[in-house]
Amino acid sequence: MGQAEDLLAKGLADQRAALDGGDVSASALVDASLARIEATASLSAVVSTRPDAARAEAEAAAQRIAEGGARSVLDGVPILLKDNIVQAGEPATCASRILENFVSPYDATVTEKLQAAGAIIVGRANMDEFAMGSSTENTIYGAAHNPWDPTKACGGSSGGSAAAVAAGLVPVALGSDTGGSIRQPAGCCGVVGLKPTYGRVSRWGLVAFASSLDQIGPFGRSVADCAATLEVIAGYDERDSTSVPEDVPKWTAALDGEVAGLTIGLPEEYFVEEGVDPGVLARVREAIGELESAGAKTVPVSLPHTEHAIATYYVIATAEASSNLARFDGVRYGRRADRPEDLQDLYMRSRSEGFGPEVKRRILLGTYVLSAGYYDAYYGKAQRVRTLIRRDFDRAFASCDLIVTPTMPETAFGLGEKSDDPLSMYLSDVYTTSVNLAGLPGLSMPCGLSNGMPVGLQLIGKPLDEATILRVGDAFERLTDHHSLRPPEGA
Amino acid sequence: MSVLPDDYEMVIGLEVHTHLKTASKLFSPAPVRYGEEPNHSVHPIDLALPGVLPVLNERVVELAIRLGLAIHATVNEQSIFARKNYFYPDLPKGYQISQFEEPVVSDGWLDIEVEPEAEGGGKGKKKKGAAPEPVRKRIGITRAHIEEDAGKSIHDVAIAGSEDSCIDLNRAGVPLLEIVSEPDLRSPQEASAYLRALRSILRYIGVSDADMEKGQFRCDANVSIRKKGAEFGTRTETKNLNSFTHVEDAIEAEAIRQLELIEDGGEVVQATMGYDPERRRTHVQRLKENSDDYRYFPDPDLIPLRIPAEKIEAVRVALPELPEEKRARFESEYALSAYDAGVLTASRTLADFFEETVKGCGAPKAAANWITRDVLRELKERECEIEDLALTPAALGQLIGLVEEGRLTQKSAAQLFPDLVANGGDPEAMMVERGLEAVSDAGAIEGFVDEVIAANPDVVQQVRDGDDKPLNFLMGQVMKASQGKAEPGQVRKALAEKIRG
Amino acid sequence: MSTIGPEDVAYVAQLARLALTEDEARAMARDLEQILGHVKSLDALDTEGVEPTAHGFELATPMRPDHPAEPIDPELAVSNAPAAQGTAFLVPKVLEEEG
Repeated sequence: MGQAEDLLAKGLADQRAALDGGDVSASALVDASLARIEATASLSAVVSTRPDAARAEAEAAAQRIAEGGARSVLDGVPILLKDNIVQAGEPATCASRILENFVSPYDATVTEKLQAAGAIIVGRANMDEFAMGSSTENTIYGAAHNPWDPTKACGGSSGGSAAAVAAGLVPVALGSDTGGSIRQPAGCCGVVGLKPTYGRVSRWGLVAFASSLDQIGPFGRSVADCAATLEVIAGYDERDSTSVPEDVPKWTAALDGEVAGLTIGLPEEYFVEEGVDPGVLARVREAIGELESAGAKTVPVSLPHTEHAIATYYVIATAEASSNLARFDGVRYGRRADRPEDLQDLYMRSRSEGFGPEVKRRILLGTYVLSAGYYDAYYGKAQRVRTLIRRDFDRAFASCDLIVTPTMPETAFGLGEKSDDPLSMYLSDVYTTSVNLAGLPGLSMPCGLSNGMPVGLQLIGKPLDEATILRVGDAFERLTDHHSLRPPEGA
Repeated sequence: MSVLPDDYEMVIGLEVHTHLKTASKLFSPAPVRYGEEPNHSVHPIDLALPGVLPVLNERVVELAIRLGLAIHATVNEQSIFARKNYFYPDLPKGYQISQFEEPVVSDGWLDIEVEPEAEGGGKGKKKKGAAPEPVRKRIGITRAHIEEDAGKSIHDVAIAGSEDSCIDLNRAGVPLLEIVSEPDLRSPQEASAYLRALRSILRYIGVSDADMEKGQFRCDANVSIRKKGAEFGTRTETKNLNSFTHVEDAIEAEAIRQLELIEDGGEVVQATMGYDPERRRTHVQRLKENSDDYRYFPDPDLIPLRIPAEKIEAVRVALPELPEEKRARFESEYALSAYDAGVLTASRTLADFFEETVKGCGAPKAAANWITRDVLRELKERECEIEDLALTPAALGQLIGLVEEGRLTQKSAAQLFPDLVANGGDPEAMMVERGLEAVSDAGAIEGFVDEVIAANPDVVQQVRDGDDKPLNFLMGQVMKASQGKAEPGQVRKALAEKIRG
Repeated sequence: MSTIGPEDVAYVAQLARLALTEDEARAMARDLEQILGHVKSLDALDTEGVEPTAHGFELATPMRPDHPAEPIDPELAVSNAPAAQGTAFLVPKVLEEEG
């Protein structure tokens, strides 16, 4: 068992070699993952597991691998789904009371792809309810604790997936990102998190929060592992009308460590000192220095509408969410209030009892901005500002190949610290939301510590150019050691 | 005759929801089926399960383009799917995907014809002794847009119990075209003429079967009244009218209600009305003081519908002949009266039947008579469609041909007709089998004529004295004597010769 | 677009079918006020002639051929239903037209 446990802490390449070489079986690896999940239950990173099914699948994988027929780099590897990605026959609660008893009758496209690749889904990860939050505190399962410091939050909304990878429960996990919900928790937990270009990964089977912003993406302990996982889950899907009809590049094959000749754009609006942890800025500047010494050039760019990103995001995202969440009405599935007097009572009580306060807040805000008389002033306006934000990036990318920024203005904040101040919580997304509004690919990776907590470095790419940010991220890992940092044991 | 006083007029606009003739639903691949058990024809998308997404059915777009072209409208090269948000148990997503600001079709029209009496008299040309010609009127169509149908709630106490309703989502997601007319209609008769014309077009071009009983053609009527020359009055909307008679009656009832209200010093308020056919009255179902806040916004799960000009052209080229065009062609090509042409083109299947028949006999006028008179009578009696008759156009054509050739008398043909309708068959063979061949042998005819002359000396004398009328009687007698087989032309000749020399 | 009062919260709460206690409604009004105050900053931007962004790319309209697929098993369709009658969903009696 020790060997399997050791292997669990390693990356995909090592795991593949050991599995294929017969050193460790898929069953042992999956068992190690399930054991570690149990042992770290206090983190509340994982909300449910499927041990019997996972073990059966692991056995089948072991069989395949023994016969030399591993389907992919993920064959036999344990993985977690964020609790808003559906799997047939399994619960999908989105960390909400309103779906506490829901079992999905169908698979998400990414679930199908993972299974076709042989990955073993061992369970489902904690999240902010319906992906609305930046701390994984808005959840019926109790807040997720940061493996680096259990008094701190994991970021959100994919905090459980980030923490699981950081704590070595699984080598990779899937999350979703609407305004930063993969990148920000990756930053908080010291792992790599990747949000692909909008439309790159199918949303079929992702419980929708904000349809024009949501994307599924991987967490991993290295850029290469994220690239490998993205290769498996990406691709055109005719079941998703917003899916981009583009081939999936072999990203892993292009990780050559070369950054010479690349130009990195540094947006002045993201490097202000006011309101930013000086340790964060220092680590990020050091990281940029490393890339420069490896041959990359930097140029200043400007994204002048950055200050309006949060407002724009919250109008658009909540408007779409208010409509997407209307289906949770207690009629066909999910929680229904006890003994409803009539139809209106059924709706009112099922929804009021089923949704947490943050979800209600956003539904109300979204309903308000779409309501009669306000559409042009809010939603209409925000969609136009969104165009201005995209143009900012178009202009910036005319003079650089990628953009580098801090992922967040600070490191992971304390549990409960921002619970009473929703606006302050929203403002912590300031560096990440523009990327969703413009539909660009973005990743966060560790670039050192500040006061003992991980600092996130964000790389933002041109549309459909995951290749460049993966390459630069991977190169940065070769130049430094930050990605090998692990949370203190026993955390 | 209008139910309103002369200085008032009705203003009517109609909204029609029609089911498009597709195999699968608008945004889900579930099959479109009628009469199924609850939820036997649904897909996760129709159930609005968490995580599902809509994908547009290409045939819906094709049919929408066809309809747009058939009503002389603009097919917009870009239109947007929008969400109409409201809560109702038969609306699984809590929103309906529809089109709001940018519909697929806009600014069309169709022509209707109404009998002038309906117009309040005096407008049609009146020739002495002839029926006044129908009045043609152009009705504007503001827009047509694509949207999905909702499911059904079943309130049957026997099924659900008195406290509950059952929700069946089989119909949820079925593709609809909502067709909105301008408020150009001025009478219940114009309204039903418009609906008939629209339904005919929809069936002709294969866009919808428009079967009202299956709920494939539903009509809401917007009705207001005003003093002629004045501004539009406030209108109400009467929903769920599922027969043309109900539409006419409901419009009339609502117009009367509004008139009485105004005459009593009251004001018409915007409302959704229901129609009670038993009492022939409309009643307020829901006031629309606060107009519903549907919070329309473009559906972020769908890309705007872009229709390239080449696509529109391709559909135009392939468009079946429209009822108007066919009617005009029948009048010119077959030298038919406007009336006959109108009857024969009432449905495409009837029109096709006629043309096939003409191919077989080359006698369009005769074919028109047989079909408008005898075939339609059969359809009415049997309450069936023309496809259901065993009679084929080939057989009818042959039958008519035999009469044209003089081998069969009209009377004998009439004898064979019921059998052909019921059982099909070969008219020529039947004719021979039953010995119905026309008698055209001069000697035989002479024999019958002599027989009849001998038996009716007084009548014969009348004819000799110059009265032509009794000739018909004598004709009839000869036909009777010959069991209808004597060739009428020859009989007439022989009679004339023998009596008058 | 300025102050959000209890009536505004009540109005949108009804539209969204959310029942709020008085305290909740007050708190919501405060939160929404604060957030919308921040959103107000968008007013200052000149967006004259700027097209709204719907999506990332100018895609051709994705469509699927009119081929019907097998419907879901009706039992499975109602398997998550809080209340069902046979294969139909059961709800308290539906009285009015759309709400």
